[in-house]
Amino acid sequence: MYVPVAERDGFPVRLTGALTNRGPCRSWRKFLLTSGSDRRTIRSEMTRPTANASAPSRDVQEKGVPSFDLLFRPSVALISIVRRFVADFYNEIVPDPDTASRLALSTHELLENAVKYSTDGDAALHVEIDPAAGTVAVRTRNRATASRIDRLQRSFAEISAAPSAAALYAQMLRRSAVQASGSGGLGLARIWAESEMTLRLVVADDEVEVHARGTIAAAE
Amino acid sequence: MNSAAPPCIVDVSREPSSVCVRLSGDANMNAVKVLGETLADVHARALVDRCPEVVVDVSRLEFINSTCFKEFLRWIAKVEIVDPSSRYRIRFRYDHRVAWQKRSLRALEHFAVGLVTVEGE
Repeated sequence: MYVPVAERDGFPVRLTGALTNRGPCRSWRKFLLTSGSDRRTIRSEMTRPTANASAPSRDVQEKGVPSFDLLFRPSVALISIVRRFVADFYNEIVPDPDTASRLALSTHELLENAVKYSTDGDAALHVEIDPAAGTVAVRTRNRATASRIDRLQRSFAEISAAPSAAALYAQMLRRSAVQASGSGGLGLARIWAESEMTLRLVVADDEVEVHARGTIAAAE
Repeated sequence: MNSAAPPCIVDVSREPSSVCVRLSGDANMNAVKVLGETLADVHARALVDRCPEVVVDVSRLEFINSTCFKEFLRWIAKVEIVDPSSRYRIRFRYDHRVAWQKRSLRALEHFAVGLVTVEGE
């Protein structure tokens, strides 16, 4: 895990790690200063990532690509705060506003699901952008019930079997329109179709990771 | 800067030949119930008043999650099964500068061709 930048028991958000070679520092600090009723001042310096086992990736350490990790306790208000922070982050890194909007949508949808179905109160978000390679990776992690995991696996099976993102989205729109309640996979279909990101599910015991990968215009 | 998203506000008004629904703020999980109930009320009112069109202005909506988006789908599905002689049209207005609005509303337009139209401002 990264060296904590700001951490406090009972504070609803814990941010770990920090690095970055440009813009994100500004977004990061803004988020820290406004993410709760306790608007304390944080250290101004940014810590460097350590070589501990759960650092996000070798790319992050070696190339210093813009990235961040968030681990926080579920709260609807916090999801929106995180989305705004993430949108700022994307707008800073990604030159095309349309692409930044697509990424913000997918991040919000993934995070909301992670928060909604977390069984232990924690939800984690990892975002990593490699402007040189033109790739973006978003990952959420949470613990979930067996029934939720089963539901997710069925949704991902539908994604795998679908002929196209548009076809699955159309199917999910129709299904959602008549569904009384519950999760029907609309959010995932929306990510695939509207955000143009590919999705992957990783399950280990009761821990669920949803990965979304997409492309951005590579930096010149 | 306050990073907390503004709450979702749904405002309904009656205009000479339409009912207008204006949404603003953040349509998140907190907004699902209100949005669903409001759209149900709008549906009933439009039928009683024999209103030819309902206009939904989302141009000031910061974001809509998929759960709230489903409320639009359910509403549209209810309108689809109304007898054609009493059925009203649905027109969405969006801000063309907001990318998600255009993409998500286009999906609604394709979902109910002929019933739903969208226009960017």
